[in-house]
Amino acid sequence: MTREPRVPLGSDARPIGRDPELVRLLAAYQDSVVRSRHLDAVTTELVRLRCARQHDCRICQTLRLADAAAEGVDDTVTAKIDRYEDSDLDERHKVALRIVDAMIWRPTEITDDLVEQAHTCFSADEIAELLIDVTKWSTQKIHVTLGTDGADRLPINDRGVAYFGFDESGRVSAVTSALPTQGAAS
Amino acid sequence: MSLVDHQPEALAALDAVLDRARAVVDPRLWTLVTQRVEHTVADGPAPDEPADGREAAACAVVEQMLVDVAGLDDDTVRHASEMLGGGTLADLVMASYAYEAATRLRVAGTRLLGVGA
Repeated sequence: MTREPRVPLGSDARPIGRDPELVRLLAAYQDSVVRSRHLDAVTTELVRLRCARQHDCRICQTLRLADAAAEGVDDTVTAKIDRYEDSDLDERHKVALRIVDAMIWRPTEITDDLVEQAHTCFSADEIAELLIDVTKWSTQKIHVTLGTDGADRLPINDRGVAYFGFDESGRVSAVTSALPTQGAAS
Repeated sequence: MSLVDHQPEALAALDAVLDRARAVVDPRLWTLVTQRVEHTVADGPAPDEPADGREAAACAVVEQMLVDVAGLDDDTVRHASEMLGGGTLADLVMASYAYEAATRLRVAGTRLLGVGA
């Protein structure tokens, strides 16, 4: 689906008239989620991309987490996310994606089996981070709703993706067309 | 240990978002939003019906955001923007997101990590 912005935008390409304090606090929430570092980068990236595809966020589907790419999350791996149950992704990652789907679609229907799988594959700290990660990435719903999720400003490479990382504060540190040398993006 | 025990900083930050959302969103619209989130995400009671065209436009956006945001169409959002004003709609969308996030965390956190999430 093509989406043009659905609300008036300012020169910064952001919606005009928003409450700046609400915007600031929402950013602070996202930063605090990113600062939690219990989960590995590969699981984080699979969770992020599952959210992006379920919500059809164009900018999030275009981005790749540099730390995860450096650990081997390439196009072959990301192509398995849509049909992950039939893929050869390991059980830990399949369980993570089942939790994502349950969170996004019907959290009241999380089964006893999924609870058991979660605690078999993840520590309680990791489960907690996975849950708040889903909500952090799901801020994309705001941008999809308002039509401000376009990826046209990203430095996309010839494979159609751009890499990003976070700094110590939880903010995006850089967006680049080339995969940064290891350690430079995190 | 519940979700808040594992992630106190993040959940405090989300509470701050919710406090601000309550302060900036029209109280009637806030009620309509929270009722819809509880009904859709947490099997809560049926929400109130919108009382006029402004409320109906806002509810149409929120309801589609909740069930499948990718299915929202231009006309629905632009109509709400015209009825509410673009900035007011953007604040409402952020507020709806925040309440939805908190509710999904409450439900999934309780199921996966125990009561008190």
